[in-house]
Amino acid sequence: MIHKDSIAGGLLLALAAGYYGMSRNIPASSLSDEVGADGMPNLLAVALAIVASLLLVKGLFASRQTAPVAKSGEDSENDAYEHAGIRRAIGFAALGVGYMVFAPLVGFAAGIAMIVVAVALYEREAFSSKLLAIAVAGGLGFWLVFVRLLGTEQPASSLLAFLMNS
Amino acid sequence: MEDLTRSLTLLYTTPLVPAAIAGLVWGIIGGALPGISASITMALLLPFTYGMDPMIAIVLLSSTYIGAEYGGSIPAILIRTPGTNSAAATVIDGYEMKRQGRAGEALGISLWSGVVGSLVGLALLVVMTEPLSRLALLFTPASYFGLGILGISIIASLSGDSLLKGLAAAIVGLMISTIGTDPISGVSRFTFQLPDLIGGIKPILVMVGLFAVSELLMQSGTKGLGVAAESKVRIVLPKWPMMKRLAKPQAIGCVTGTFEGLMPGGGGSIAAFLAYNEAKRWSTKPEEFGKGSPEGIAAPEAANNTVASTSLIPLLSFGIPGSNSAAVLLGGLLIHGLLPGPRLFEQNNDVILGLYTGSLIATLGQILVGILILPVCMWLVNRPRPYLAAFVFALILSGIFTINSTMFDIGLVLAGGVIGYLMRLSGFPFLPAVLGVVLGPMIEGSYRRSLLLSGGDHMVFLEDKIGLGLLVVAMIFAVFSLSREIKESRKTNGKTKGISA
Repeated sequence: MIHKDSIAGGLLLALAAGYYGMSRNIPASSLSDEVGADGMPNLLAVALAIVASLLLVKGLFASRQTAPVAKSGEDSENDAYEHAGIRRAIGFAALGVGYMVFAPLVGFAAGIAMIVVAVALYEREAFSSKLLAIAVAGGLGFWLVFVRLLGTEQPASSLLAFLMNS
Repeated sequence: MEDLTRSLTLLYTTPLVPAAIAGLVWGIIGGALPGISASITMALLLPFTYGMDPMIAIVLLSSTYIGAEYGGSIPAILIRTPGTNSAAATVIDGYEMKRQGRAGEALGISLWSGVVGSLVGLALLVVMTEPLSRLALLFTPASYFGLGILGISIIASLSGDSLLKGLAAAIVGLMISTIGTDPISGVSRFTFQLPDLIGGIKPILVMVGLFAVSELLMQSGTKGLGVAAESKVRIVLPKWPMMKRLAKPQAIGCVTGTFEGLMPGGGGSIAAFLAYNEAKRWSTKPEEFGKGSPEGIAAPEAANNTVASTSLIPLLSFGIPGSNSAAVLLGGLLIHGLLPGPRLFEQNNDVILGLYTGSLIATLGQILVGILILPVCMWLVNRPRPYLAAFVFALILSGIFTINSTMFDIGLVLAGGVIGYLMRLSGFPFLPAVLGVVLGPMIEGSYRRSLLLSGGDHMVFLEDKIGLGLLVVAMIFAVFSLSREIKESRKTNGKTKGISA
């Protein structure tokens, strides 16, 4: 079984390689100093490659010493729990992406109401009129505080603007 | 004397008092919510400080820090769940006292000890910061480079279990700081021709992503606390005989809090547990510890509140944040173009005086605000977790949009959250990454300036005595940390072999 440190080391090594490749493409400028715009990035890429390699090796040694032990039922359960956790986390982040898409369409207050409902449902709260009322109140409350009171800029509804213009 | 008069003038010429109280209220509420640490509470507030006067913004953030340290003890005592990491030690005796029907007394001891710790920490902050910052006047670009490397090295060594992981996180943070337009040549670096990346990635986006969003992702799917906090608890402040009894553990808490606050990477939780152990060792009634001892609450609470002030000493003097919360405060300073060090004291003295005065108001105001706000905290602690998660997420989304009015920033914060979540799963610490992003421009700038002055000769870093000294200390920290890691790894391997045999 591959140790977690080896996986992390491998990924970081790939990141270092990719970053180094991109830093080599940074154009030179006549305004530049002796080090150049790519000087620090090159150093960082090399430093990360060294650290990542050490981590990779450390992980390989660790997995060698624990490899013969068969996976217990508890370990498999933990792995399954961790994978489910990663899926849930990505799903949660996707709700944020949903806000990025819908808030400019429906506007700030409605966007906030939608994200409150979406997150609560995602967190296994049952859909109810209470949830809806809290979400609407939340959306209006946020709009009052952030737009009216604090005067911050928030997404305006392009859909509403379109309907009003047509 | 002049500074004192100026501080008093600030009280009635600026909205310093409302800012300190607002920060305190927000801090206590945020700290009281399990899973929302002091740094997350501050990070959630950070985007809204953009348009504010710098002094008011810094007062708001520092008061939040003070409030959150006390707020964390509320659920620790009432529902056996620390609101912040640094309140974990308070659970031991706090919850025992609650079980004995002494929850109000326990909250009063926590509040009083927090005030004592904050006052001591604040006094040290005022006395030590400015003289220490004067040292920075002797610094050349090579010294600043050494300082930046030392900061990274200490944080990478102390903030996690593995030096390699700490260093990797710090380097990735430094890499993020190179995104955007190169300040010297004006060349775009790693922008993928995206206009939103030309100005670089602001440290605040990384902080909110790593601290706040990743915490929401970690908690996603977990069940609520399921233990309702009592709704009729009233804070009972300690009377004189009890105050006398608490003086010794509070003094112990203040000493450990001072030491840990000054040590980058220490933080409130280590200070609190150290203080708890020392208070037990020096107590005349050690047998009461773990069974509802008032001293078992006083020591850790005094310690973590002392840290809230003393961790600002290395931050304001040299720009090295000692804890996650101090890193967020550094983010607040940088947002307003305030660079820590002696120039901050000379050019922005009002900000420093405001910070001191605001922190004093927040510290003293803790007693009244702490008592008044307890019912609100208990009501919030009892809300279903899905609703809390939903509103915290909505607050993050709204706050981030206010910075540049672009959805791109929200995307960056969400990506930061997912990366932070994966970092947590793989045991990578956050603080080195945040510090890398924050200190990146300083490290790169001083590195390039040094070489510009020396005509490209790298010997400049060895010829500068301060710089060389700092680099040597950085090396010592790294070597010690690595040897500790190797020893522990051998010990673990030995145990594993023993089990397999």
